[in-house]
Amino acid sequence: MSKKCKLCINEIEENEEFCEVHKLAYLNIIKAYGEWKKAYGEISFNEFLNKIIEAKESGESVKEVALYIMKNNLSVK
Amino acid sequence: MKTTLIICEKPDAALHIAEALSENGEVKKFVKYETPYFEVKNGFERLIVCSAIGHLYEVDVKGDGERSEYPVWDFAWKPKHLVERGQKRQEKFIKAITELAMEADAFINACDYDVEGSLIGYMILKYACKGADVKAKRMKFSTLTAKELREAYKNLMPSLDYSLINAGMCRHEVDWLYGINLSRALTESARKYSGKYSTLSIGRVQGPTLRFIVEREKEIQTFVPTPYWVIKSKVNLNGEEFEAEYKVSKIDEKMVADKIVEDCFKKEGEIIDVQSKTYKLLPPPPFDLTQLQLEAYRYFKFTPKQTLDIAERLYLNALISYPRTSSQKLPSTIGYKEILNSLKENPQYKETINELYDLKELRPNEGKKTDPAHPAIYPTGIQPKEELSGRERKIYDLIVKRFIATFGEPCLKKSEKATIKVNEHIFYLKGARILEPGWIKFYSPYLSLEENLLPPISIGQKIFFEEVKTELKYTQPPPRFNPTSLLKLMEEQGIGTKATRAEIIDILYRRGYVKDERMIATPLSFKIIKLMLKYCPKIINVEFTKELEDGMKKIEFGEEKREKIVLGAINNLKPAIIELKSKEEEIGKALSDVIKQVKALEFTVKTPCPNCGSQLLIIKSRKTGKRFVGCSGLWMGKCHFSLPLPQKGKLSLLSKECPECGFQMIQIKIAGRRPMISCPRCFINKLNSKKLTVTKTNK
Repeated sequence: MSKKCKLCINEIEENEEFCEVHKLAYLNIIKAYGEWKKAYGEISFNEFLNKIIEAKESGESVKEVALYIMKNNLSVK
Repeated sequence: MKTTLIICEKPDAALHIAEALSENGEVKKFVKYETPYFEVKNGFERLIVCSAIGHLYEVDVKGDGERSEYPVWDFAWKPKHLVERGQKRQEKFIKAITELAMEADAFINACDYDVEGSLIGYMILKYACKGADVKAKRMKFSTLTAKELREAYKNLMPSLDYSLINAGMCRHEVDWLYGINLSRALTESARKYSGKYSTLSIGRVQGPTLRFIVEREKEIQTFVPTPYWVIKSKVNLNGEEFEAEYKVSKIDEKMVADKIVEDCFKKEGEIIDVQSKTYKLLPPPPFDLTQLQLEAYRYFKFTPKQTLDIAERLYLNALISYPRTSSQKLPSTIGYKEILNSLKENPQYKETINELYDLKELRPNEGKKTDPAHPAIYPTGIQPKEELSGRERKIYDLIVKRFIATFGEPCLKKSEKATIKVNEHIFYLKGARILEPGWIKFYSPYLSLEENLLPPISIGQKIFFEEVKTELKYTQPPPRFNPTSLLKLMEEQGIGTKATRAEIIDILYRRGYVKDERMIATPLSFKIIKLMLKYCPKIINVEFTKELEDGMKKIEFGEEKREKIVLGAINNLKPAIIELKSKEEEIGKALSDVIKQVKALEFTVKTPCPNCGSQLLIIKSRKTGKRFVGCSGLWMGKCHFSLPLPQKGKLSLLSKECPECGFQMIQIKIAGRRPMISCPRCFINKLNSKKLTVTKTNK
């Protein structure tokens, strides 16, 4: 039986946690953290996640992944 | 006496043609099998003017076949009533035309002069008139004015326009092959797996169009904004306050932005340079269909399909020229002065046209786009016989004003820019003024330019920065498509035709692939595109569709053979369909899951229950059959929150929230009426307060 994404009903590839869209959101979050650190001088990962969850410009999938990371205390890979 | 049968595309056009060609103004109207037609005398000729109601013949599977069977590669043209359900009227039209053809010695195709019109007329002549296509002539016109129709009748083309007919046949055949095979593959896969029927479709143009939306949706959903800062400043100039722009519009680092504020706040700068430039804004070109649809959306929020439908009605009332055009050219043969003189009879345009007459010569500012069959859209000058509806009036006014504006002189503008230096930082003060409005005054209220006047300034002048601060902003996700921006993209990418693009966008809504005016791709569209990418990526490849489109365009100019294009399309499609057929179960499972999800979403309200926080649902009562918003907590017996809903019309949940209470808004669509958007919660609050007032008054 095929496995489902941690955040939606979509199927996932072998050895993946997220579907294509949520994985892309995750990768974009990681990439953006570097840009945010440069913009603010210093910002913690949690503070960054809080800010992108609140920003109306953030995509829905980005907010879902950010919440998932916070809830599960995941660190940046 | 010779009898000629003239075939038009629509009954309204038939009446105009009959009136124009009647030598004594007398038009006899008859009805045969509920099909209206007209008879007039023209010299020694008896003219019978009849019409179709759009296409009376369609492509279908050759012979008899099951509606669910696929793949199908053999096709034939058949009467539409035998192909589609609910086409009784078309059957009667064919019957009537067949009988009228028996009385005729000569035949004329007077349908709209384009690919579709040529094809509609050809099919009727070939099948309903039993092979009359070989001796038929073609009437070519761009407006339904009596003058142009008489000219067109005098100068008939000696035979039918077979290159346009072949191009039309090819388009219908290729679209049918793609549509029927791909749509049946999806629909049947889902039906066989779940046992439930849902219409799913994908086509040659629909596929790449849907892919644009899905790709955009993916970008939006996975967008992470990054912060940047802008410098806001207020400077004092001769006692007046102005906003000065910092040289760099976006500053990526907070520290850098803070340093600028520190350096410039409450400091005095100096003007080190002043520059001014005068430039011309040329008048807009006349409307082609896409530009009309874009402008109508911008000002009135009409969808491309609504605009096309309204423009068609105006054309059938002889008020404007043929709207399905891609031309931005207005040849002088249309008679500029004559049209303007007629428009002047309308007091609304009299003054503007008089101003236009003060100019040296009447020359339109034409655009680059051309159309071999028709000029740009222009008003005929004929005054409406009946009062126009509100929407028709809006489109008509837009077309008239655009037509007038296109003859106007350029607008002359002067821009000024002062460079201010403060502590090594550079700011700009910008101003603009209109020296001569030119064409802009003719195009009012559709365009007005704002002026931003600067007081007299000179190099060396001191400027005091009263306020300098940073403002935090975030990068924005790409905008969602709306029907018009999608239409524009389709045209830029060369997929679909001016006549079909609006309908394709409409289908995406009807299939549940997108929702809302700012188009949101549903999970179903994600799944369809994913499946297509996996099993037949070529089908949703824009380049491939464009190639096919170019081939079909070449047929119009006699540079390509229809048979070759159709065969090429079959050869490309066959492997994809075979692959889809072999993976029916897998595809069916994937689609069934997402269809369930989409159906559930249709009935799930985003706003949580205000009483208990559980999910709210749209529920249909088994007892009364009435629909209402109810709390999912009801089944656990813990919450009885409910809101009434309108009982008539198609209800859909919008992604908008009520500005008053934040509850998810709903839309009700009833055929023939404008959609009603409402908040179920505020609606009930208003209703309750009204009831309360009535009760108090009664007491």
